[in-house]
Amino acid sequence: MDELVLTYRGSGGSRIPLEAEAITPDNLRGKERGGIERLTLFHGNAKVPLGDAFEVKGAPSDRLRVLGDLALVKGLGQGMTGGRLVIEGDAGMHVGARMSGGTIEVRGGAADWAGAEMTGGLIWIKGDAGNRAGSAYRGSKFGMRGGVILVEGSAGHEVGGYMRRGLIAVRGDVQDFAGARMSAGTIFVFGRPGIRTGGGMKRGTIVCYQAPEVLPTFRAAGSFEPLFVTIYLRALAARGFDVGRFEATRRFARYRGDLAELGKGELLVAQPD
Amino acid sequence: MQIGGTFIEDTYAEAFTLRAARVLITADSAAWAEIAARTMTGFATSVIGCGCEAGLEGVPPQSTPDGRPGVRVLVFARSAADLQDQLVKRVGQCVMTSAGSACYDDLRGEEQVRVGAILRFFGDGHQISKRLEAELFPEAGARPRRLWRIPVMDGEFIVEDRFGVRKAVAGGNFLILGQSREAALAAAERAVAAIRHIPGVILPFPGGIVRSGSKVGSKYKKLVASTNSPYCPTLRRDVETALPDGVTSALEMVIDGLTREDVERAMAAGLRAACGPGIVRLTAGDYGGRFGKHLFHLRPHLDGS
Amino acid sequence: MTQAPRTQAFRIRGGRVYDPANGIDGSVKEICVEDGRVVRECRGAAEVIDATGLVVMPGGIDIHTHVASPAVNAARALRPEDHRANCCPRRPGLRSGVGNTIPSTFNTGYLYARLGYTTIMEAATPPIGTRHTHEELNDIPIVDKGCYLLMGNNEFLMRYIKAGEMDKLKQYVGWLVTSLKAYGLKLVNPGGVEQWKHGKDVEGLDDRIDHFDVTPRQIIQALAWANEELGLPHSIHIHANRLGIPGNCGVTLETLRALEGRRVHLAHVQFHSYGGDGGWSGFTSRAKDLADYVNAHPNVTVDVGQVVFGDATTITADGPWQYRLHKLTKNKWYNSDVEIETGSGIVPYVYREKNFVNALQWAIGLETFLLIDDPWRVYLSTDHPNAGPFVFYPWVIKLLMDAPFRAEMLKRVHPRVASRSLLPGLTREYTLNEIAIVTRAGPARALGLRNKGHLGVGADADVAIYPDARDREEMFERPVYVFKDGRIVVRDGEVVETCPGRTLYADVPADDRLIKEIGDLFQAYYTVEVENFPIPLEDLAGHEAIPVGRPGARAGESR
Repeated sequence: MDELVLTYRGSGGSRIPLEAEAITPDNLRGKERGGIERLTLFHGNAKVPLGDAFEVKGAPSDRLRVLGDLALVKGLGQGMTGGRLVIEGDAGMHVGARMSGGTIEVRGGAADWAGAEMTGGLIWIKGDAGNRAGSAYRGSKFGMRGGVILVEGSAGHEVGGYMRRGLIAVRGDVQDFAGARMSAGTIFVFGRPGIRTGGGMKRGTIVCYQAPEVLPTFRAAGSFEPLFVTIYLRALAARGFDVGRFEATRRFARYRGDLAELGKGELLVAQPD
Repeated sequence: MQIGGTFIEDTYAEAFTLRAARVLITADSAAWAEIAARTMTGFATSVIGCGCEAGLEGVPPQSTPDGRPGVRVLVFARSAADLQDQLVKRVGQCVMTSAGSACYDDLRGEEQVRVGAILRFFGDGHQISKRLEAELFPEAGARPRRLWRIPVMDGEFIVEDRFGVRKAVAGGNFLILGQSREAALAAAERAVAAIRHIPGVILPFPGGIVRSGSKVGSKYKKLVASTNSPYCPTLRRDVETALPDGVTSALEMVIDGLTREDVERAMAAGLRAACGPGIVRLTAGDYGGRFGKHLFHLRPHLDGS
Repeated sequence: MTQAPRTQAFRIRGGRVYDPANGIDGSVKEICVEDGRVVRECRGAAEVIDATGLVVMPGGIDIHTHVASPAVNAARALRPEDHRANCCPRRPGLRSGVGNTIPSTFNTGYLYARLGYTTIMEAATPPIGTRHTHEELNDIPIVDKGCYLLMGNNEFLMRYIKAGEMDKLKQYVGWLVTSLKAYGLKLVNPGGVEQWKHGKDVEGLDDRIDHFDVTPRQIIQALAWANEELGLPHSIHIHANRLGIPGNCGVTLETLRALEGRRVHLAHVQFHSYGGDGGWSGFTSRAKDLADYVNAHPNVTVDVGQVVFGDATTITADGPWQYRLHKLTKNKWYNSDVEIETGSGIVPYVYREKNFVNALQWAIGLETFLLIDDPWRVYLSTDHPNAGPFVFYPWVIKLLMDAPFRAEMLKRVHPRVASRSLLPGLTREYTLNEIAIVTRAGPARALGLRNKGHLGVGADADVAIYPDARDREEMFERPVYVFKDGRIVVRDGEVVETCPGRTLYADVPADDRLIKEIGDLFQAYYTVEVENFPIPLEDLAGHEAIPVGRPGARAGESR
């Protein structure tokens, strides 16, 4: 299958990030190599032609592969609406932020703000995610509004903050304030959660397979066997996100909160037999 | 044409178009899924008097969204609006009330009707919606799939917000003319068993068999249909009979299916299975081609058997 | 950005001139500008500007906007998402800026200039925060500006009113205007913001304010009197009690009746023209009642506060109203108490076409424009950014001038509006002359700015030249030229030169008779020293004193 391959030439020792939100399948589709090389990126506040920062090879396509040490390359796939972007290695901040469709696969880890305010599409991070994955930028009423973020490693603080819809699954641990001020949506945490999980939740669901420290503004509401959890787990497994072993746990304790807010959110804590 | 001693009349069945929905019901056990499905499809033999035609598919689903045992139900009605009305009533009264059930759309069509979207209010404000993101649930219909979690006494009832509907084929049929009641019934039962292996079809009548087939029209002005007198054995001297000599009992098989191909497969399987000792003839009620838009000729189904 | 030509003289030839103050309604006329003023003819060599086929008007004047004050800046801080929605990188000679509904200071100046506006009035500054306001005004390039002082909930004023010490009241008000280099007096929910300090509001003009024991009616009448006694160029400027509440039209009319015979400007009247019984389901329009009153009372001027669909930010001193809006929308909310003087509240808001209330608010604004007969007394505003950002003034102009476009919009908005509003039957279309009045000549007259809003000899050379496009929104969005003080600052809708603009202030003669008493009050009650309160002229980047008239000037008198 046709693929366009961009190889980062390196930062030349500079710690100043490269703003690369021009690199999306939408933007590169239908352009010849010359056109792609002439796209503008920003190195700090200086304009840089894409061709200076990346070697461009392959055929123009909806499928994009980016190689190199990209930890300081920001905004890859930002706002994309379709196509496929594979990042071989770590991605810088804002990967897939505000995207509405397509697939991003990060074969390393992602820095902060991965999938922030996204409305659709899939981001799959093989390594760790930074802080505020799927979250809102400062001041925005909502964070992620749709789509799926899968993290095979761990994630930082405020995963899914201000979430409005969509699904986030983290196979590893998450740090503090997961699902802070969520309005809706579902977050799965298969590893250890940090403190203040679900702080300020209005609605939405956070499923924890290891017990979190439940905030005092959450009310214990018995336990039950939520079928929808099974439905999501099976779909995740079918997609290749290996959480099949968690399907055996059917019973969850339920906590309603955050009572400091609307209080119609739920924290489901797995109760293994 | 003769098969196994049974004469196959060179005629066709007329079937017509209805709207269909395909509902997947799961429960903690196959038995409970079946209970919910049977209750839901009760009193659903004919759109004329029951509002819809419904029944269980014979072939169980290969997989279900929640991994539990499941059964598929097909529901046929005159219009999408009727279908919505029937589904809301039947799922609400018969599936939701059944222990441990969950109810999914198994036909993700362009056109959709609101089922969970209406039943959710039973949750009295405590219902919760969960979207099935297209990235994880790829076979979406006209809009992204959405489930409602309705709190009920044994936990939560899961029902999909919208169900797909499509044009489908109803009223594929053939008539079994037998030398005795026993022979006719045995043949019909064989046909039912054979048709149960065909996915995408149901036999809406009791046990899959109609003993009181009808004809269009009646001497009574108010009735649209009446007993199929040409096939009634006790009336062979009172009307122009369609029963050959030696036939003392007739039964009808009525097949509804999602597509024409599904109905054809079912017709073929049923016709073949019905042939045999004691069965004088297989025929179909043709109305001169005026009644239905789908014609199923009997003989081609049996060619090569 | 190109270098402006060195010449200071221009002859603008061949354009159709709309100068209503001088009775010019579209005739082709040459306008000469030199050394910052309109002149009869140029003494020196003049560059000729070919305005054939173009429309020439005085620069626009915004009589009521919120662009610079502690509250405006708090709104900027409250809304980082508003910055993201609009990022303007710097360009040679121009500063960078952000902000969609609350532009940063430099951006504000550029955006106004790009619409052909050359004078703007910051509608509400608390005395103690006016130093901040002037700092921001200093940073708004190109346009001339002034500010109105918030007075309607001032504790010292209320004490004077209660004690009947009207002379001292006048001296105190005069001292504030002089010290703070303000242009006029602003009342916002008089008495109500004081009550908000105790979690309450006022319901009518005769409610007694706790502790100070005066009524809104007394505050309004006292300050209107002081305004005229001081001869301020602009009338008293009032944001009436009960803003935004269904059924508030009664209080609005009461407010006007309380000032019969005096000049009064009522701000953003759209928000004050509601019928109904206090709940939103019965929400109706009473724009006709308000328009009838305005038509019958030549002492009244109004600006509309027209709703524009989309993002807005509500910023007012009306603390209780802002709290109500917060509870209604559940949006984030900022509230502040300004010691001695007033308060403020900020809540983000979105006006939606399909929302019945918003759509009816939109219709009420248009009804107001179309039912008031005299364009000299009704002015274009969106109470920026409360009812929408000022960058959409061209859209409003198109709605006023193009009845079929208005009808199309009516079909798009909530369907119930058509039957609840008079708008379907109002086919009046504003002419270019009338637009020139409601956006330029009229505000200038109400503000008492003799050298603005017209193109007669001696006027400030603030000129806007628009293409005569059939689509009036496109026309007013992209002036071909904008002159400020006789220099070209905008060309084809883009800023090509910048300059600081002047802060206009009312030249009330200094009167220090009360200074000892004021000093004692400050000592007792304020957290600042009275010596630090006044703002020296040097702190204004540019300034111009506007003369005050003789005390007791009456409504309608030409100045």
